[in-house]
Amino acid sequence: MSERRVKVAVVQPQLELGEVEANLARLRSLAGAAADEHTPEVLLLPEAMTSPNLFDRRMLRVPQPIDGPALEMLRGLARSCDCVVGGGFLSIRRGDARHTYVVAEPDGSLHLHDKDQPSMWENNYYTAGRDDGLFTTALGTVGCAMGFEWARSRTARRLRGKVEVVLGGSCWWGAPLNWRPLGPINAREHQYNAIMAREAAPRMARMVGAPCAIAQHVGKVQSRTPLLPGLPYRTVMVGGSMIVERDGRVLAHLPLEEGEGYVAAEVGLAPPAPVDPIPSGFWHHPMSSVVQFLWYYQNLHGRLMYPLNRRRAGWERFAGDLPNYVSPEPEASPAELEEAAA
Amino acid sequence: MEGSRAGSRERADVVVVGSRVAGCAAAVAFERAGRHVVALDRAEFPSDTLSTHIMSAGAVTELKRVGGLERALATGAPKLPIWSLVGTDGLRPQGHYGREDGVDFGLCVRRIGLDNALVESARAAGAEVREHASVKGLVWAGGRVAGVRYTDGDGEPHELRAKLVVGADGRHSTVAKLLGVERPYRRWRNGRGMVFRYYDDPAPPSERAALTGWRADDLYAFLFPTYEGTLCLLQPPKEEISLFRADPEGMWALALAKSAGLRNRLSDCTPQGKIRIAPEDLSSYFRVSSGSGWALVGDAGHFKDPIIGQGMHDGLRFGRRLGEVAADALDDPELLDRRLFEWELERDHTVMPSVYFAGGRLARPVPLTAIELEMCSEMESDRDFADLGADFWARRPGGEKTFTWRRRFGWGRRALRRPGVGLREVFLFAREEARLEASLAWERLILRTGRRSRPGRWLAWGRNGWSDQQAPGGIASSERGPTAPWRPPRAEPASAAPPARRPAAVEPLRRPKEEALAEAPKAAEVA
Repeated sequence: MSERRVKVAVVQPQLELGEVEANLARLRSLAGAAADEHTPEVLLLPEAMTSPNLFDRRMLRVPQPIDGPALEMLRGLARSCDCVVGGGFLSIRRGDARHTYVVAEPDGSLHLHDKDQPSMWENNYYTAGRDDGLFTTALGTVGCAMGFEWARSRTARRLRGKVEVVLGGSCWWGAPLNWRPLGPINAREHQYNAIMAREAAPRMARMVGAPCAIAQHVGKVQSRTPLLPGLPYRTVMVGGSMIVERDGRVLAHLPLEEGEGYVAAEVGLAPPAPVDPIPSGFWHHPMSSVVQFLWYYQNLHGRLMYPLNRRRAGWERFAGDLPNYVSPEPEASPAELEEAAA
Repeated sequence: MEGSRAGSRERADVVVVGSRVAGCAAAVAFERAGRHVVALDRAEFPSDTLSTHIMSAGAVTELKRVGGLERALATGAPKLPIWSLVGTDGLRPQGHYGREDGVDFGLCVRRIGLDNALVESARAAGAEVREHASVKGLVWAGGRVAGVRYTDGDGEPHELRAKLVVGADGRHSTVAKLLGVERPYRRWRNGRGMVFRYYDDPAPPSERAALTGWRADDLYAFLFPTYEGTLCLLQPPKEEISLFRADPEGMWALALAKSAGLRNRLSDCTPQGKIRIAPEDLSSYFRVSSGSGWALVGDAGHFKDPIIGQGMHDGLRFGRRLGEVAADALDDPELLDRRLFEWELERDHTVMPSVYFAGGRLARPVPLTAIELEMCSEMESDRDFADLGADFWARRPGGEKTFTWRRRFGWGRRALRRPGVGLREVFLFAREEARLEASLAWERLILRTGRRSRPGRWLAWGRNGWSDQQAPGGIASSERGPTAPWRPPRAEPASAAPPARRPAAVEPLRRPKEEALAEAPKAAEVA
């Protein structure tokens, strides 16, 4: 089967904690500019596009009903830009907060994927999804990955050999830069973390056998620290949005130093051709011991706190939901279908 | 019934990929529940395939339940009410099947006839079977399998959407490949290969009423009367398969030379066509067999060593069960996925004893032990026990009582009286039996807790082959609750009545005494 060239653009924003409306407006503006400049067939926004995921009380206001303004913005962008648009946000689905990545097509189709596992302090604000994150679109079969899903071996397993392209976003923060007593250790951790973020998409492309595109957050942020009240966690969103060919070649990259912006590149869509084996471990890239420690303690803390936050924020009262696939055409009744068949 | 078309997208409730034994059973069950089924197959029926062919009475009961029995009998295949093992030591135990759902006989129908009968049954039930349809890809929607892309006989591409995609396309399943679960999570190497050919068989009907097996040294050989002849199927050590490929006739003659009884039985028969040889690799396996909007039935999801001849039984049974458990859940994706997983566990729990029996006992290409000889001896002298053995093989209720510990101790005790048999041999046999039983009990216990048994690293396998059944972050609060661990069913409605023992009216097959005596010195050949 011949390869089909598709232009993909990724947007890298600098967003403010808890400022949902302002962040959506900012993204709309960046996405519009990217579409005008590159006329892509795929335009990706990062996950957590309503607010960067940090440990802060303001995060309780961030999750919104799934069919709220964030989803409408994505649907509207897909229609106005006449391209496939992806973006993720904290949603409320049937009484639980999730981290949902939506891929909207110009014809009105919506494809939803909930992140398979919250990372560290994110556990306070949403819970895991269980779908496979695979959808057939006008482009072909698309796999979806968000945040640390890009770094997990099982993501490669669920997508390997099945998809023609992997699309998604991330909100990838660094190690604390203000914990001076741990300065050298943290500096090293920050570098390792940045390397992992940079290599996640190329590795995934080689393991899955398909081009990848990831939109990242960028810029300085400040969070609180779980179980350490009064200790701020100042760091950066590592940036590094990129578009990668199936063999791992980086076609376009927007590093941290270049800050907010967007880039675009053409990738080839063809039947998947995995190159690398998938490691048996949980992560496909070695993870430093400090990050491992943070991973376990913050996961545990977050999972314990989630039910409390769910009740406190009132997410449980929102019973509404959307299916993971929303068809552009209304489902016909059996009688109508019989008629159509006749 | 036509698949419904809406615009350019065609829809059905269920797409079944592969229209042979398991696929047709599933299609019939879904259609009976009022669901639209489109079954796709690359082949044009009637179409042949490699198979052990044999159906025990249990498999025939399943065939009847999916509506294929009358058509299968219409091919002319004789009923096989007797299960017979032939060996040396003058042993020739014979068992009769009990009656269940009016069935007390086995069958051997050439696959070209059986598969055609099943396709006709599926069509009669309302399913649309499309031939020359080759699946090229899956359609995904919202993380679920939502249909297939296939090409027709003219190479024209089509997309068919469905609420459930059933892969029933055999060992080399395209659907399993497309789902990324082609690699089994458990696998056992086979010890035996499979070679067969058909014969013209002029024997009178009374001699064509039994499934007969011979055990000669390291060879298992079977004679299955079918329509327009008899099938002779050999199961030599798999290392000999390459030799069979190099010199089929020579190796066939060598194999027959190991068993005078089989040779004599075939002396008046004329070979039909060429010898057919199955691939050397007939490993047993379990694949992840259910996920979001998909299921794998028959050999696509689970395969066990052909030596035990249970493939068609399980294909029919769990094809049918899939339709029964999933049909009313098709409109609720989460309920459907739970039902599919429960169906998979039910299958694993049910087939596990035969997996152990095949892999742990029959598949090893070694001569019978003294203890096993004692078992055959008891079967020959105790008609009821032989009948119980037939029901065990047919997976009939009560058949599990064949291998009680009391019986096994008795065989061991009597084996010690045989010349050359020491305590060590009996002890090793008992230890192996105990190990197998303990391992089987442990596996079934795991399955009862609602998990796949021994799936290896959960990171590597688990749900859909990529993550745990429950994502490590925990199931959302709203989804907790109704999923109770799967429990094995007490009894299926159709088999609730105890099987009636077949009366002794049928003339048992008795070998002429001279023949028995002639074979007696060949001590290596045993039933």
